[in-house]
Amino acid sequence: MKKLFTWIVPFFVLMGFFIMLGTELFQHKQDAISSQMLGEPLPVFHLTNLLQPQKEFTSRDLLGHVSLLNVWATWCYACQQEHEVLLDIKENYHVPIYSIDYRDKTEVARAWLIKLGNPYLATGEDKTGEVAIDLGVYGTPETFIIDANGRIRYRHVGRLDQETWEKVLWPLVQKYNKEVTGGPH
Amino acid sequence: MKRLDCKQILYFILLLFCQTSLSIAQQDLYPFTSSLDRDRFQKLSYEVRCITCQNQSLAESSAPLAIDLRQKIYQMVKAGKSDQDIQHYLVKRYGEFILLHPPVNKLTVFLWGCPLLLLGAALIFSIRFFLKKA
Amino acid sequence: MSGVLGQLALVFALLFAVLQSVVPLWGLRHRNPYALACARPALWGQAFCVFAAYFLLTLAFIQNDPSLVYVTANSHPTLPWYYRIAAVWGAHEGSILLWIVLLSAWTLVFQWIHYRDNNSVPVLIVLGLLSSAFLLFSLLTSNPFLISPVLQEGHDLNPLLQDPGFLIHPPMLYTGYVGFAVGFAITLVVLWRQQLDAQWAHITRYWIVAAWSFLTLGITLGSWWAYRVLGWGGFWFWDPVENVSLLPWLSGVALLHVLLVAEKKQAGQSWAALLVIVTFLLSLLGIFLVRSGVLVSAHTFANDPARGVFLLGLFAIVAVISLLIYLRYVTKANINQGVTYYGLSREAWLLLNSVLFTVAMLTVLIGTLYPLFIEVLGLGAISVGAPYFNVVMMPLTGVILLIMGVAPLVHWGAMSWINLWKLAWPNIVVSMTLAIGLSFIFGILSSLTVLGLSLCCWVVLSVLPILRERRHWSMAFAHAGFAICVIGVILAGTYSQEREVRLKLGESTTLGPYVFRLSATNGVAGANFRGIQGRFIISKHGKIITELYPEKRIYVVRDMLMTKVAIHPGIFRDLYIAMGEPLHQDEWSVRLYYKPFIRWIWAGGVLMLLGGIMVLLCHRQESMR
Repeated sequence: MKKLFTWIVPFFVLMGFFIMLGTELFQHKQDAISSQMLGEPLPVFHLTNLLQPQKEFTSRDLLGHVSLLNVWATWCYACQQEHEVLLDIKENYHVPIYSIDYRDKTEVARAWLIKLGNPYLATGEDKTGEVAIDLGVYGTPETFIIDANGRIRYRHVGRLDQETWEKVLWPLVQKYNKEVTGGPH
Repeated sequence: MKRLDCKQILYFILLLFCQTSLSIAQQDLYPFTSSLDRDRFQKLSYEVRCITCQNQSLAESSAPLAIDLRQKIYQMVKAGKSDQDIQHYLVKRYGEFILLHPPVNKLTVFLWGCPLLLLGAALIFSIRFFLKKA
Repeated sequence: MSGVLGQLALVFALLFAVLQSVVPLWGLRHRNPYALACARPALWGQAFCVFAAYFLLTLAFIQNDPSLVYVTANSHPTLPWYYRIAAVWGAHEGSILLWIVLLSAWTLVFQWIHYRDNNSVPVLIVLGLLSSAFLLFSLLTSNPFLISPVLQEGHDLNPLLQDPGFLIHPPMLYTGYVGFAVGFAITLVVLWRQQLDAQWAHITRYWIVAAWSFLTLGITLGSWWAYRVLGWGGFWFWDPVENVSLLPWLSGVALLHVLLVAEKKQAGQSWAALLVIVTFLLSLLGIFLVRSGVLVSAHTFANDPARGVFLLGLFAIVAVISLLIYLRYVTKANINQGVTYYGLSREAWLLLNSVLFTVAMLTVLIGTLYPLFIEVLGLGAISVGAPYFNVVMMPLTGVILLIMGVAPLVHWGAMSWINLWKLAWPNIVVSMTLAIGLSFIFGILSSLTVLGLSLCCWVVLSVLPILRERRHWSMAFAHAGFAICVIGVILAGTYSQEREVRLKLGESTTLGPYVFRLSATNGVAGANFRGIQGRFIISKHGKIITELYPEKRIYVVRDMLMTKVAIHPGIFRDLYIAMGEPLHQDEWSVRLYYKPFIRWIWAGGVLMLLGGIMVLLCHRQESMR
């Protein structure tokens, strides 16, 4: 009995160890950072509007309709790749997109939007990154779905591509839109 | 001799001036009026992970997000938030991954318990070395 | 050209390594002396090819060969020549080649020392098998001689690695890691022969001490390098890669002490044999963890799943085979069961030490792998960082220091508690008084600091009388080194001061009694960087101590910003300046650190190394049976 024990136990331990390391090797590296902000109200913010500096862009602007909130920066390469998709969403899906320009220079950001086109209803300048932290953003681009009550419903980290938009985000936007029109609210 | 005296007096004044807390606080990148808060801020900076870096705390990183997060923590400390409040705020946004000092909970019972258990077991096990007689 | 030649050399090295292992293995089975005899020449062949490959790669770096992918990824025409030589091990492929080179070197040294000894051939077989595995790994997944389809100019070496510390830290560390393979191979063979006797313990101990000494030096240099390069005055970060190097070191310490018991008292052989195997397996685990990218670490190499699969497979095979051999033969091995432990004796304390260091090793292992464990179970993502390890290792180190201060007083065989007390009580009194006095000097009276310091004094006092006997110097040095290292850690950890300030040109600021004045900033330019250098004049009580020149550099090719710190070193304190970001015109953010006793940490490491070297110098030549 004791002999069996000394033979079997180490090998079970080792097997467990190998299986763990092997799984880790093949496991799709998931986004390590899990936000618990889903379902929470959008943090309150007041930012300078990038294109109309006399106006403010605030969290209240997002109330009353389902919208996308995109966090971007001119120095971020993926944002540039994403931009076309956002323009397409604006043109063909008619979803209001708001945005936060993260740690950027005003002039550069304006020129960027003029050059590439502006998919956003309004853009706030977050020069200190404070709002981004409130949202739990840790890299650009990130895209949030905000429902009509101003709650964060979904968060997409990284470049948004056409496929993800059609398969994941667009159905969600439709769902929350229905809640607004047909729901008990 | 006289010049030296002058120099010394000048220096003494300079020293006094430098050591007043006001001038120090003005120079500090994260000025505090209470040294307790300063220590708290420093400790938190070393215990919060810079999530865009590979494996560094905020204090050890100069990544933009790390600088912003330090600023945020600084403001929260200044606003009188407790360590728990600040950690809660961070965990809510970035998950427990952000805490380099894992809190004791369901997930980490084994992590915190193991060293203690192992040390205890080792010491008990080792008694037999000392009891056995030839 | 060198690409083709280098690959050819690696292929031939693999063929020789197979010749060195498989043919003698067959010969062993069929008792064919000719087949056995081919191990040595094959080893020479293998070593020649491996060294040639390494030489070719170094040459390619010196000439900045634009046709090799690996060279262009890690070098640049503007890189100084000495960093080009070091750039060979600057990334994954080359460091694997370095690993192979060192394995061949260790094997050569082994066969040179045991030249007349025909019984050493099976050890060459085991080492040859390991060489074959790594050569195969290099050729299949990490070929440093890959020829690039287009000629490129080069991406330069990572600026973090462009530091004198990097010239010697990795080779020393790797020499340590690889060195455990020799002890491992000897032990496997001796287990197979069922001769776990005093002679085995004696021979293995020297090989393990040699490897452990290199590892100690490697870790110490690594700590020093991180302190100089990373720019925030830290010396140990509990980064997974650092932990991975600490694992074999800790189990190596445990092992050294059990081997002593096994050699002198013929006890604890099976435990020692297990530790030999575990130590080498930890080295292998380290390669897997670092190279496969499963750990989030500051040091991760580019990850490719094929590498991870290969290394995990290799680790699994070596682990299973060596443990099977262990379990199969350890009970049958000729262990002298007659001698057991005495109540209060050196052997008991040595075994206690080995158990405690094993606990330390397991603690670090669990802490390092725990986030993986949680992630695999799908329970989320957590971090286990420096604060955790500092908390957990503190009591453990305390217990270790406590017994370290007793063990040298105890002699082999039975001893009475009263005799021990007679030897120990002056040490207790002296260490308590000294530590309390010390902490009064430092001002803040923290009970943990006092306890830690008194324990360190306690350890140092226990080895002082031993200095009279030269044959015990190695132990005295190693123990004192450990204590001095811990003193450094305690004092640097407790009494460090730091400030982050904004400084305009000409302004001064203070840190403790020191006044730092930023008197000028100048532009600087090096071969592959340009930057701004600050000139700081540091004075204390009106007297100028020194001038320091920290820099903020930009490495042009990689467009990477680097902080080059300036340090005023001292036995009792370091002053450390790191330039931060420029804030406004002529205004800089600057980090200032006052680090008391930080040099003691590395001095302790060097003393431990000296202890190891002394063991080797006392080596008496003996053959393997």
